[in-house]
Amino acid sequence: MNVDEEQLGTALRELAGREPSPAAPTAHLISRGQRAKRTRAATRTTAALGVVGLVAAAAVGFGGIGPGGGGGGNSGTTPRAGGTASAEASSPQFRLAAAAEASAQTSFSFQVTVHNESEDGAKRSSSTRSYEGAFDPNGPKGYLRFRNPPATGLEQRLVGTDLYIHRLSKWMKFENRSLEIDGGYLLSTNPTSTVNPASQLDALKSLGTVTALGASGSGAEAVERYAFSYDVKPSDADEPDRIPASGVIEINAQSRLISKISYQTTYDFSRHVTQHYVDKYTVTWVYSNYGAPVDVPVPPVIN
Amino acid sequence: MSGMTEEATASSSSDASYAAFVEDAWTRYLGLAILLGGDRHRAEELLQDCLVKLYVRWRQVTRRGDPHAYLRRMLVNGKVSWWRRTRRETLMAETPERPDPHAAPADVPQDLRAALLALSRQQRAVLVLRYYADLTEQQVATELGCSIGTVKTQHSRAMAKLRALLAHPHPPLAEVSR
Repeated sequence: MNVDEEQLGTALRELAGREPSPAAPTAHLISRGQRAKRTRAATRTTAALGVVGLVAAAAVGFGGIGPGGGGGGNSGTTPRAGGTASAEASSPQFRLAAAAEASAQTSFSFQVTVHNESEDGAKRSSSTRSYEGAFDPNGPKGYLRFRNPPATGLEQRLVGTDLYIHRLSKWMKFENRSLEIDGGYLLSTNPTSTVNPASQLDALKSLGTVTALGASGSGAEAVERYAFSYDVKPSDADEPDRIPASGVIEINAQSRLISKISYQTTYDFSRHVTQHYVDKYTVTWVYSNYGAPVDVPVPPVIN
Repeated sequence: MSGMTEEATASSSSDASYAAFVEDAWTRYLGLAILLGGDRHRAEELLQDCLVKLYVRWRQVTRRGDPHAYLRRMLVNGKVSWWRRTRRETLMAETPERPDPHAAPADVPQDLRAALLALSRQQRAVLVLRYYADLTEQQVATELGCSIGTVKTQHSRAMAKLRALLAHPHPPLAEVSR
């Protein structure tokens, strides 16, 4: 064959069109796209809630409504001293914010469980995934691994602003990323989370309410419990207008550091799609080993 | 009009414009995917994946740019990723082209198909975007994220290799399964 450039286009079109093209599966694609949109919106918002758990706790503490909630006017994260502070110090918002700030300034280990229940029309489904990891804000550095299911082999390591993701038996490097949990599977999507708590505080500062529930447990296990609730602000039109979140934060009575955060969120997409679709997430973060060194080796990268 | 009705109307309108785009673009981009990858089944799978991604970002893409360019870029980039992921599988699974006793006699398109698959993926993308998608060299450079000089070089080498391969239409396996 003599390859004439002018005839190449014709030959390529003939080659591409040799087999009859099936009809475009438009309805199927729209259905898949709608599902992808709902999943994307739900997982993205869950990531924002989950990864910044400690910071969100500080946020609701500063921004709560009611006695002592005036701390929300402070642009920083440090509890204020002085006469006003003494009045605020007795408020649940202030105690919670102080604990959250102290917790976020030191290294810690964490375990996360994400339980999801979906209602898609008449179809019901549920899944549970869990992770473990450690984080040191000085660096920052940390890691995140799947605990359940364990066979996935997915892992993230953060060294400074470089995120390393282990997937399909190899490590890949991403710059200017942070550790993230994406509603149940590991994926890097939000670079502003853990490494920049101040920005998260600003974003969440004026949301919600917090109520002291009192103390429970004894000895080293004694905790102060706080209930919080707020509406997550949707980031775009594809998300529900209102995403309610509520939960409980526990502060260790001795260390004054956060030991557990659990919350529930509901994503009701019924307004966006004709078919009933609701996603419910129950997420629990358990924090431990405050102050312990976090060793994060840089893996061999194959990009 | 209530907010809910406005939202439903916007969503319906968006779906309608997306559906019209898919109906118009399906055959053309299926051909592009086949030429880039050489496998009809995988090409259809790739195109569907890209169109689902396009649906998710449909409003933003149509507001800010050209959905054809966005889809084309996804197909080329998706193809590259797919090549990287499945290269080992392909090397293991691909067998030499053998005449199918039930197929039509070998002809120019069949030889061209084998020759295209023998090109590097960038050379193949340059030729397919240039002559099948009718893009200019500058547009090809933009799609592939490289300089226009690279496009010219790859184009020149691709044409030379294509001519050589088509002059000897049954290259050894080592050349075909790259």
